Amino acid sequence: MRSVLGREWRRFCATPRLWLLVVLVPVLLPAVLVTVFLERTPSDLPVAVLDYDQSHLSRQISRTLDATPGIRVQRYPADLQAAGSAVRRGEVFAVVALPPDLHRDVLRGQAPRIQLFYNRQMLTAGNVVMREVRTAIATVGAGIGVDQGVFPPVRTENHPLFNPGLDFARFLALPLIATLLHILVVVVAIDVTGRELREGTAGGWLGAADQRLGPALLGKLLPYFAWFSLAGVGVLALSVDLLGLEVRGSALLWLGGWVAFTAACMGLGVFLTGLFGNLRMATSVASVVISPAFAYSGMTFPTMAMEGFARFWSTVLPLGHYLNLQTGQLAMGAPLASSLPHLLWLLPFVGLPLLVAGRWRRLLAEPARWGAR
Amino acid sequence: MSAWRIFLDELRAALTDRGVVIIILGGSILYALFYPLPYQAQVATGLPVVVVDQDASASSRELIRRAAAVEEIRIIGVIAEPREAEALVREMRAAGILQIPPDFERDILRRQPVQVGAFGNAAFMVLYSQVVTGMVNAVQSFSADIVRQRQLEEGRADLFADTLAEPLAADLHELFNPDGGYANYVVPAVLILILQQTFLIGIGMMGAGRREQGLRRPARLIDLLASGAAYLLLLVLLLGFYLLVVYEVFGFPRYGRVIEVYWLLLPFFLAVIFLGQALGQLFRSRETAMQVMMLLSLPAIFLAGFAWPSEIMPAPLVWLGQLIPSTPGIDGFIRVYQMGASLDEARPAQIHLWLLAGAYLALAWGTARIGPRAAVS
Repeated sequence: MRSVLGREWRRFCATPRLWLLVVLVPVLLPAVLVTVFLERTPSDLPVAVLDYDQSHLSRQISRTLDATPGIRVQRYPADLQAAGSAVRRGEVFAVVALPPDLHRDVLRGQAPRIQLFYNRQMLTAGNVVMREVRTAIATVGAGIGVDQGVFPPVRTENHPLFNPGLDFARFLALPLIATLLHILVVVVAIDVTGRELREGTAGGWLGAADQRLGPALLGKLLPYFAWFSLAGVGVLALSVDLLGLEVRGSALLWLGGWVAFTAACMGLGVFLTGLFGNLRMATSVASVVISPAFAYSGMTFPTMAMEGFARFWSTVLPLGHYLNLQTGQLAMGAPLASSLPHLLWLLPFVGLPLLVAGRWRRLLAEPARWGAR
Repeated sequence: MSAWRIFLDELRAALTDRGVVIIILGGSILYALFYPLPYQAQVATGLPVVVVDQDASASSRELIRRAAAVEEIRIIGVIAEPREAEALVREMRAAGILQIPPDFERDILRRQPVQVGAFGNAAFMVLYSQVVTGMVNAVQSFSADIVRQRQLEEGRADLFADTLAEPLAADLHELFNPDGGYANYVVPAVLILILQQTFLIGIGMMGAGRREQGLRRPARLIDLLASGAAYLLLLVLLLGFYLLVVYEVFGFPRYGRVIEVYWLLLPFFLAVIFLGQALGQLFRSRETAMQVMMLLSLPAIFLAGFAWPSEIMPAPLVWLGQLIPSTPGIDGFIRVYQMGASLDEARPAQIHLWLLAGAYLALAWGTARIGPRAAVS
């Protein structure tokens, strides 16, 4: 096995592509993502106000809107037509229309309705604007209500658990970084094994391992496994620090989970290379499996709400299990009992190559199978 | 060779190359059907909520009944101990907690304002906003009923009951994405990204493949344009498949016209094709194109600034994003097709795309003339 290690080291040193994938990418791409999400407070999102009332009250509402964190009054369009165009152009995310006689109707207790048109196509920004405008209007309304002696009998007080500042961007950054790294690990595992077949050097590889498959695969993959385990732990921990997150659960369980996940990704990669015996085909299929995996992970749209095949697929893929473990330990302080099943699910993936061990043996022994592109 | 010949040769070469065709046709069709599946429900409903009822009165039971009728949530249990409820959230067995305080009924009868706690798991954005919206809606309808009741008792007409408790309120009108669907929000943008990534891979593989075989193709402008036209044809057909079939299968709403989408995206396709031709000069092996694009998809979607408004990104990253065709491509496509903007209203995106198309044509031409020196494995 030592000769396999030495051979791999020489191959690595002589391959700029591997330097790029193994050393540069794990630093560069997470750095980009951290920077995207580093900004702590979103700058104010623009809204337009259509003031048909031009009263003391309507101007007070405009001022309150402008002063509300998260939004600012960008425009006072002439009519609804112009306001709609401003939304379609992307100049504003919402239009607040204050009806004529607003002030008079409020004083008469006729409960006039303000019209809020918001851009729901931009779901994230649109919902933030909608919530903030409603809050601002409710604030003005509550002040009037107190003057008139009316108030809602029962109200809700919202408590965002685990994320009091509702700072979703920073919560999304870490799963995205882990997702990128997992794509990278699978890509590299397929590359270092599949490239030997493609370039017809598999004979030398097996020879360095005395014709034994186990030492050949282990000697080749262990260095990358060790490196990506360490690099991943470093990058993830550093990102947590830079993003100002705190670990609420067990850091050991979380980072141990990363190591298991790295092994699972390598297992998946070696399985696919063995199955197809072709670097290009294995990479193509891996892309189908892992590129959309984030959408299936439940980090954006909840797994609980997925249907049919999507629900099944989301429980099969290793990514969702790792990310649930990560979020559980990092953000929620989840108990061991709820994170352990996720950790255990990752382990069978490590053994996945055993299913294609016979194929691997034939692939390495028969030069006729080499060189497929 | 005539331009027509070059076009046909490139089309035949791309379609008979198993590795390329599986990506640009297989990949772009498969991903477009596979990617929307997790979001097919569009809106998360029936999220598990546990109730902490510290009052155990007729009123609190009425509120629970109300909450059970709201579609966003479903009640998985009623307990008395708040700490137990939070443990359920930590274990991901509940998404939220509705906490009814002691003396809930007494305070309502005394006409004192009462606050009900709506706790949601805010480690997940969609989960949190859905589960809290469900609880707030339940409480609001419960509260409005009390107002109605009081008015009846006071012998007043049942007028404006919903709003009397709020002297000023807003009517919400959603523009463009009527049911607030998550797929409607994400998938249109992703479709544009899929076209870009699969064709960058495919065209990059073609270029790298030629290099591997030691083929040096003529680097006249007409060669680039005529071979690029082969991919343009495929992109035009695939976009038609997306707009007609994929939109139909998943029922995505749209407010724009197909012809305007094509007109808008023409420079997007050209920018992708020329960038692919330039990248083809960069990779020494075919698989590298695939590996690199797999890694760049996720950053590209975030640099596009649709998921997160680009207003909040640091300036250098915004500039970096402006160099990727999908950034103005997604922006323009969503405005025109999802929001019904006129081409005039989407003009900045269109100009941006033409500039990128021109710049990448120059890049592809320049790199093709310099030849195979600039190769990174």
